Amino acid sequence: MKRRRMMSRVVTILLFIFMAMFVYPLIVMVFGAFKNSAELSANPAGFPLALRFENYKRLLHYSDGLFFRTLFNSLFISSVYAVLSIFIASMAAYAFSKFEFKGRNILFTIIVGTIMIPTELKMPALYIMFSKMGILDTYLVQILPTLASVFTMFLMRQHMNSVPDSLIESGKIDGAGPGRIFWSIVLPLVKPAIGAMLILQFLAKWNDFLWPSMMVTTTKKMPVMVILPTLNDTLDTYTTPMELIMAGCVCVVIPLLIVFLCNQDKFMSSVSMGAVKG
Amino acid sequence: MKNKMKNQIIPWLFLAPFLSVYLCFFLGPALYSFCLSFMKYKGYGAKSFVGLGNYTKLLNYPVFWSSLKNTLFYLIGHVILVVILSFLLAVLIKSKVIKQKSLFKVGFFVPQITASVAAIMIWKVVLGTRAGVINTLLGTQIPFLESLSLMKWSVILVMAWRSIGWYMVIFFAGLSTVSEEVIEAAEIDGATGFQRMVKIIIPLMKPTFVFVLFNCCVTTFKVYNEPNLLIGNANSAAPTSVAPIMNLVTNNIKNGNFGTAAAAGWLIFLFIMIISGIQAVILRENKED
Repeated sequence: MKRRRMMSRVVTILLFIFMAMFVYPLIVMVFGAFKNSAELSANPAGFPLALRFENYKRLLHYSDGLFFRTLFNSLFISSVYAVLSIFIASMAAYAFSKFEFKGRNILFTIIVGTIMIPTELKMPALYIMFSKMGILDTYLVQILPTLASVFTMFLMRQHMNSVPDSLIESGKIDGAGPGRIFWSIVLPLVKPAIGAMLILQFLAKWNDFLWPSMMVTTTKKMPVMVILPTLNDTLDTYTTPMELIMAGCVCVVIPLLIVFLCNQDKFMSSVSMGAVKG
Repeated sequence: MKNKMKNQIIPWLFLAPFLSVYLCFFLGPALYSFCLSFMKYKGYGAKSFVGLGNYTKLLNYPVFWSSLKNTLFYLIGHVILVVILSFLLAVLIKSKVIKQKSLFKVGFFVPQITASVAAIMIWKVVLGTRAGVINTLLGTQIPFLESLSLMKWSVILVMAWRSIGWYMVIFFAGLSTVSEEVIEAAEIDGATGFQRMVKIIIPLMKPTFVFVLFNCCVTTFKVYNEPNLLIGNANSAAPTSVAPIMNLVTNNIKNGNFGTAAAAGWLIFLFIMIISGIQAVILRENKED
């Protein structure tokens, strides 16, 4: 028994050290943002000498507040994208789950059959389409491409299938139309799935770098992820002011981290819900 | 009669927004990309049909094979590291040995919340040669981001740092489907911890392993940010010695070779299908045992 407790303690300590290694890069980021250029290269690993907010001031003034504008762009694009994509996917899922109509099964099979086609494959075609439509370099072009999320639709249908038909029947008897039933009966019952997808879709858009870096050329319309690696307010174009970038990273990472820490269970269950795919 | 009509129209009204976006921006472009891959098109002027020209051009292009090799290197390294570590972490944290379960869960999941671009910039500071964190701590000058042999491992490290927590949570969900009773029964029969793991838990969790393996392979095959931002920088993409296969799509779009870019996209899709095919075959063989 004693040996067992000993072992448990050793394993816990080892795991704790391993976890510290995982979290340490984030500490490097937070501390790095307080250092100036010389201090960051002399002492990148340890505590900052003083709590200087100079880097954040530089960010604030960077190219007329460009950084915070793009941070707002990211927030705006990711939120609109998440809400819109889930809304249209839920509507389609409701049709597939609760209505009988001609061609329903065939249409559903075709749509789900294309789930594997990666966005990257469509990029050349979408680039030409968007440039012909004249909407390259807009907010719209950052929202549209993956807006019809087959996976979201599939997951929402799975959850709606478990909404009992008797509830819908009783809604009908009370005189509610299909829109009313969708909004006040079905949607509230699949709330956990909606919450999980909101988190996943928001994070997917928030993290996106490839797409906007190809489609958007005006810095003011870019999301923050495209601006972040290019931050440079020095005259020397060959050195990268990593202390400024670390401050930028803090602004990108910490707010989301706080939201995560307040809703850990929701974030983690969204991951496992997204995995019930197979 | 009227009621029946209505029932045929209403579902289509609910489908309309999703279906129109799906056709315009999902299925349509995928088919258009397919057509493009047989054409030479600069984005303006005339299109000309070149048959399989774009594909043969890509396959005869040394850079295609070097990027495929790089991508497979990332894929194998990342998948092995992630599957083993995230599974072990999930098992350890879930076991009786560890008491601070939620602390460890959060600690290992936190990198996932860090946006990938931000994570890469942080690791640039950690792995730097002259002023990097690791080299300062060790008092060395190991060129993690500059030496040809180390660069690729750094890319794998940064990818794994972010994704291990994600897959750990998926393994948690998988572990909770293994019933406690089965494990207790084995314990009573005198199975050691290792035996229980290999003979009972892992076979029972096979669906989770398959999902993780498949998902991890597909996402790693499409890797773009890590090699390009960690090794390259904002102004220049990764050198060919570390470039992933995705760069063939982006570079060809940037150079206006839309046909070649589309062909590269379809080749990537083909490889993903091959990977999933191999996994399906392995899965079926195991079932027959």
